[in-house]
Amino acid sequence: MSADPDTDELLAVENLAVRLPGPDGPVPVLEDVSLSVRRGEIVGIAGESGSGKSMTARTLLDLLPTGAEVSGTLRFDGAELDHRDRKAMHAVRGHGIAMVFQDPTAAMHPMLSVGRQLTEHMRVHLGLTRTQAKARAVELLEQVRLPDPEGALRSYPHQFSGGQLQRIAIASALAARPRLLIADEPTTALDVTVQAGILGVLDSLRSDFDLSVLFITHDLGVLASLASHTCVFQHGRVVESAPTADLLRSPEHPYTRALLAARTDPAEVP
Amino acid sequence: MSLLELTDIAVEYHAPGRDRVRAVDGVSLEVRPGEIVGLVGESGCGKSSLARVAAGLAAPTAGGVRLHGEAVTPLGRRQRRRAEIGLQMVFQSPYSSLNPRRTVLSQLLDGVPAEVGDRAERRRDALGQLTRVGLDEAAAGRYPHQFSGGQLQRIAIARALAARPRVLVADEPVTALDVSSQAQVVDVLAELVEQLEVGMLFISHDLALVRRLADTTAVMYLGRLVETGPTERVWRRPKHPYTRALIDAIPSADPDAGLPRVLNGEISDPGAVHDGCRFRGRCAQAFSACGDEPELAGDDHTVACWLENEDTERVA
Ligand SMILES: Nc1ncnc2c1ncn2[C@@H]1O[C@H](COP(=O)(O)OP(=O)(O)OP(=O)(O)O)[C@@H](O)[C@H]1O
Ligand code: SF4
Ligand SMILES: [Mg+2]
Repeated sequence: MSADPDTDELLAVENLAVRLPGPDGPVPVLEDVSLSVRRGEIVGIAGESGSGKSMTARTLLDLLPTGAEVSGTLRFDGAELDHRDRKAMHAVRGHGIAMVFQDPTAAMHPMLSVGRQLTEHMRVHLGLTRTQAKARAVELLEQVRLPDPEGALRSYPHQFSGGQLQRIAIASALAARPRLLIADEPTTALDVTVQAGILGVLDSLRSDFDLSVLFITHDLGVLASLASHTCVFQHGRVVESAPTADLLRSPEHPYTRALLAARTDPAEVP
Repeated sequence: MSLLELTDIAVEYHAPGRDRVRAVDGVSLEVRPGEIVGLVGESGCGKSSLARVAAGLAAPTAGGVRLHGEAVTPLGRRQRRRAEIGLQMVFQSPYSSLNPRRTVLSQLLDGVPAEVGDRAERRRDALGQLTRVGLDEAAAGRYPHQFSGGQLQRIAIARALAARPRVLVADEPVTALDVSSQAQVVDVLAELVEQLEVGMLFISHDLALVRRLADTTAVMYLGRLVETGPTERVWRRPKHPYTRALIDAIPSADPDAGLPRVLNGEISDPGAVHDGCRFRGRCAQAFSACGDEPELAGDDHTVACWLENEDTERVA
């Protein structure tokens, strides 16, 4: 092995535990969660709703509700992150880590043109001029393979289909040049044909720009050829964590097996 | 004998200031007792427009709906009419189809026909519907917000069943639910169709789900059916290039399979239907004949594609 896995590391989460305030005292939502993402790597998080997938993302983005108790270690881009240090967490969220959600409309302002939403972000966060920002926006839309980027900048969110909007949301998330993109069920609401396109976009962003992605999904099949490593979550814990191919070929945890059995796979067709 | 029969249905929308949209363009389909017909296709292809017509909730621009051979008067004068003629619909969002301010029992009782008997008997019947979908009778006294999405969808199904429908039209009934509740709701539906001998039109953009549930699969593209047939045959030997593309787009859990294949282009606006095969712009196999629109042809497994029609001729 030539590459040193330690220097390659972008994100490390060790023994993360999160408890949220409840009516009868703190409720544990994550327990002993450890995972890591290298530069230019896509890591999958699989599990059902309520299993803690999104809560992990929220912790990384400092989006936990007030009163949440967090323990464990977070390391990003070589630096230890103190989750109590709001300023440091905020800086990471602004530049290092970006996110896309299941519903792309939630991330867009319906009354503002796509161009305005993309460029304003860059002018504020990266200090680009109007012309620079526009050129960068066109470049980003090309990267997510949106047809007619120039025209798209002049259009409004309602003029796009769900799949096109999700590409725009990805472009917008990439505007601040994050090192890590957290994608929380980004294709769940989309047609399979559209999903296939988005998976392709993420994979090429990874290979062309060394982007790291934490891809959250309930469908293990989506991760098969996309993620090099997969963590399966159940009840707030990582119940299985392995290279994706191994995990799919010989799942060890009964829950992983159940997730696999629950899906209809085209590969079953002789 | 067919239970629900749709003949040559067309649905047009005419929004002011916009071109006429022909969302459904000549669809014929039938559902037999105890049969589940799955309708698949991409967003915007006209599935919901067809569903509303099939359930008697909207009048088609052209074509007819028959239930047990009797013409369904589109949009009966009273809301009750639908229940009387035996068509019930289950919608995508259980949250919007149930009233948040009324108890589950009172909403179930809406569906129970008067013939069932007096108050006590109707109440017993409503509770029976609840247990039939796998919920506890104690659920009856609660309000919708006290349930999960999957439980609510089962309540919505129980309410539809209370009306003794002969056909259930389910439009994306599990799309809003997470996978484990999806499986539960789908199992409940499959069991009920078998036990009660009702017919079901099950609409979904999830091809894998339709494969698991439906006896017959119908594939819709831009307002038209492009392939229909027994589900396993359509899956194992898809004939239409679009059906094949849909199947190829499903990610496989086989780590060697590679990323799912991408179908070029996007489903175009049904307002802009051109001459010829509607799939032509995205079809890798298009050839000269495709400038004319192919008709659905075949006996059991039908397909609307010149490639297949030519084969048939060559063989004959
Ligand atoms: N009330 C309406 N007025 C105008 N156009 C409409 C109306 N309802 C639907 N349409 C158009 O008709 C076409 C078919 O829509 P429909 O809702 O039937 O599709 P669908 O297959 O159910 O899609 P989805 O999978 O997104 O639910 C679309 O182009 C849509 O924009
Ligand atoms: S008729 Fe022609 S364009 Fe249409 S699906 Fe068949 S081969 Fe493709
Ligand atoms: Mg619909």
